[in-house]
Amino acid sequence: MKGSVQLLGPTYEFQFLDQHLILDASKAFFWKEENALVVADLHLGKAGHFRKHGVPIPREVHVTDFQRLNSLISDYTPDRILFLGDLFHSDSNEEWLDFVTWSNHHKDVEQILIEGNHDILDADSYQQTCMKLAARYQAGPFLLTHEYEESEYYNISGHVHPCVYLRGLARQGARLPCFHFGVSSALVPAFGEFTGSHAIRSKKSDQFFAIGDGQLIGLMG
Amino acid sequence: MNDHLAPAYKWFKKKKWQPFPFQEKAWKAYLDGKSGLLNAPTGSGKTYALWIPCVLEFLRDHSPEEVTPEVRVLWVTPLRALAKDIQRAMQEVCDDMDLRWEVGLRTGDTTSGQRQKQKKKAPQALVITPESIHVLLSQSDYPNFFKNLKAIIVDEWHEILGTKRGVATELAISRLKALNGSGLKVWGISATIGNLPQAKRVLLGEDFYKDAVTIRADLNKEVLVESVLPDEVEKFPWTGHLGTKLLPKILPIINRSKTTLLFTNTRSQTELWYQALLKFAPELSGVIAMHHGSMDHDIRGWVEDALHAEKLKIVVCTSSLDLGVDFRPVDTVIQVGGPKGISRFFQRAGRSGHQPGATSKIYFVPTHSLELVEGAALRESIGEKKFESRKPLQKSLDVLIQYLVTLAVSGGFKPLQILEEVKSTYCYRLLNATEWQWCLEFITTGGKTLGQYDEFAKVYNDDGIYKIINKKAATKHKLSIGTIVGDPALKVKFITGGHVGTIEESFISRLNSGDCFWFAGRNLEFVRIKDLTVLVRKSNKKSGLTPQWMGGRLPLSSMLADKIRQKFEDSVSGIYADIEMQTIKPILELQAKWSEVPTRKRLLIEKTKTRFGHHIFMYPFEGMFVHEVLGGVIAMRISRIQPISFSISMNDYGFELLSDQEIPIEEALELDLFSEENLFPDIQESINMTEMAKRKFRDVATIAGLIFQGYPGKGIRAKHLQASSGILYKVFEEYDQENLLIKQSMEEVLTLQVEHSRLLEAIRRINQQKIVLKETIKPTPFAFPILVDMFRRQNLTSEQLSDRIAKMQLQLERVANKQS
Repeated sequence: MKGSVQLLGPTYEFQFLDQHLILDASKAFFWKEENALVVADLHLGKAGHFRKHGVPIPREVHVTDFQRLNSLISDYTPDRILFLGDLFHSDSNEEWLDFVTWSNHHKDVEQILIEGNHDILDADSYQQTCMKLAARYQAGPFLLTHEYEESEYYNISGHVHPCVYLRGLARQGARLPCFHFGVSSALVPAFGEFTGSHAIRSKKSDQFFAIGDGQLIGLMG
Repeated sequence: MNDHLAPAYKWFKKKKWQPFPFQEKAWKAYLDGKSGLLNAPTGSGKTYALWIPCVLEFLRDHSPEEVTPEVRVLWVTPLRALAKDIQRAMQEVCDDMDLRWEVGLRTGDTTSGQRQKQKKKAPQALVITPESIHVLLSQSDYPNFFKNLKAIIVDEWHEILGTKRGVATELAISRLKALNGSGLKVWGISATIGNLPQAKRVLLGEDFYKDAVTIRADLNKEVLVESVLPDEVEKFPWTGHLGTKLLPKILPIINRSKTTLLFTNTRSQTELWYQALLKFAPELSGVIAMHHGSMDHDIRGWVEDALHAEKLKIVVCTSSLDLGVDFRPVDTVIQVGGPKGISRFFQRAGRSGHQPGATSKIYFVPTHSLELVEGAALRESIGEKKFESRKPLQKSLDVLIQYLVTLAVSGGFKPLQILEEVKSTYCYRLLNATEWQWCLEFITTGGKTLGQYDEFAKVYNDDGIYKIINKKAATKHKLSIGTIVGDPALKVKFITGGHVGTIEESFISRLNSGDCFWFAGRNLEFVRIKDLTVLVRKSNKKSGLTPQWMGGRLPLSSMLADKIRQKFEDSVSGIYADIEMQTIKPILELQAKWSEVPTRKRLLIEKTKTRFGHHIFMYPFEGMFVHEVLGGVIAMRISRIQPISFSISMNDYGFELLSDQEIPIEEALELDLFSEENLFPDIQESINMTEMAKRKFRDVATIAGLIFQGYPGKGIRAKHLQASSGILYKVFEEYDQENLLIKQSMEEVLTLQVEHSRLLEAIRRINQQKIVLKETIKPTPFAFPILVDMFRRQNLTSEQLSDRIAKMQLQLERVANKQS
């Protein structure tokens, strides 16, 4: 598929470094070997944080986030969920209580938060939940962190909310969130609805899976 | 009565001046306690017409020793850069009359030390910007500070009218009137525009305007327009290409003048022209300067002082030098590029030759040869004394929301009382109860549909008084007061120290360390960004990028557009009365040969194919903004025939639809593409399908306090509170459809941008025209500027995203091949 755009459907099983990753168009992936669902940058509570500062963002934004998360859990029945950081946007607000409820509801699933720069809640807050905290997560060939870290392992991180810009004839273009697999590291798109995105530059031999229209689109840089 | 005027006559005599009749009329009217509008151009002595009676009033009612610290006069000016000059002139009058008044300055540039001093010991008059009045209204002691106000005088009202700053001015005046009762006088000073009576009504408010007077300076000023003509016209006019090629013809004009102002339409053009002039005529070094709004105010101040002191031969500038006091040494004005409006051009011309009865001469330099038609059209319009109207805004809820929060910060407000004041303004005279209620709810609970937001913290209803308790929220609001929304601006500073100005983040974000760019006439090397400051060092390189600043370009006024259509029509009948039209005759002939020259009776549509795709060009000659909306609705109607994606570009003469597939224009024309039926629903749909409303929402959301920009250069950004207007728009669109700010954005596309009526007129005109479809082998001379300029573009599609993406592979493949 080098040099082309391929519509791959709502999920795509990507074999990479002898691992099986099911990339999902709802901006998460399921890691078969670890039986883990990997989700980055939810930024829950962002709407509440804005409201607290006088910007009226509807709460429903995060309700959708939870709904999407729930359907992923029922689709893949993972043993664990790895949150790649920036789970909660800022200081506590009442939307945290929604998460506490959600977390306890899914107590059968191991929940691990690889802490990100936005995760500034104190340890007490997490005690109300089933969440375990970690700085990084290593298994198989991968090292999972929030921000990119150099190591002997292949790094998978979130943080940048990656997207790509596609161009077509007649000045057509589209900006799409994406998974990005480079030579030594990969980026996972932001899961949260109420988040922005950052265009990343493509290099030769990079592989992209953009998301649009509920579909994964395979691209080679 | 004349006794009261005696100090003025004495002062004029000392100056060896003779007061103009309009000045005397203004003195008398003011002393009679009247409010009103003075119609006088810049440089006519308008300041003395209204400042002197403020002084006379005091001398009439008090003895000169009775000066107490209280603000008696607010002199409102739109441009802080020029406030200092006005203050100087006003202070001089007091000093000469031995009146111990202090005239203070209050703008965004005023230091906190000076602000504190003014708080402790109020000056008798303040030269102030509309934003700074609102900042004062956000302070708890403002009723006391303003309680002895006798007059508000709004200078250059024609510049503010029709903008949200104008709306902010209306609101501030409504509050100050309520504080001071009928003793307060409100005056506006405006250059000539098409709707002076309405301008007066808007400024003075529904309660004041009927009894108010209008005074006209009636200085008969002759304006001569001369176009700088190229020796040879390029048949494919490329915007921006031609101008600097004309330097050999422009330099002699500069050389034989004492001081020249060279106006360009954008800040980027100013940078380019400054470079080009210096390169072409190195001898100008030392006597050439530039002036635009993004330059550091100290540097601008230096340029203004040097202009007064006759040290400069030429200043390259933007509209930043349109206003303010007179620069007496200026005897020549050059306009580069179409000024797009008659009034603006006329006012610029007036920057030279100020002596009453003197002739003002303005040179017009086209940036592409087709633009020469504007020179011919301008000359004729000025001869006919036709001027555009500035249409005031209606019901700008974003500005109202900001104002209400401002009042909530300074101790709170009672809704019924403020509603009454607000409804006395022109802007909100038709505000209905639902809209008012929505605004109140928006600032207290976050809006009706979000009523359950117990955490929402902004304004509290404290027993009938709406106020802000949260100190942080109050500070944040005070920093956000204002209605000018730009791209987030970063300060530019030398690594060794010394400020250069501000630059937009979107430009800097594209640079890598080591890249060079031109700014304020210097080539700067980008080092890094630190604490929201762009650090640079001087570079000796000869090449560099030119920064782009948002906004700036004005659309063609409909009056001028009409004149241009007429000029083309004349040429079709073989009449080439103007030298400009004679010069571009070869272009018109080529256009006629390949297609035809558009006239008032025929709407020309051209169809062609290039390597970019399939193009349709239409030439309604209605100005860029109308074309943007019209192009959107036409594209939308065509997209109903089959799934298709368009890229739409426009300039003042026409617009282009570009697609990767053949555009079914013949079929669309048969289906009555320009039908008036369902026009407005279709427009609304097309606005939704393009980025237009989203773009407006950026301003609306910022003014209403949803986006905190920080303060330019102050380095304050709220933690975890950054969200682009695009995301907010998406969220509101999806979860809060009743949000009136979204509706306002839509409304602004239709009113601010094009006015319902103008759009309808355009469609009606088209429907009376014969539609001519020409298939051409290549883009024609008229199509070419639209094709290459690409100043403003938008997309509209009726295709599935996945279908569009599937077609994007070609391009990607090419890029991929290039890289490997």
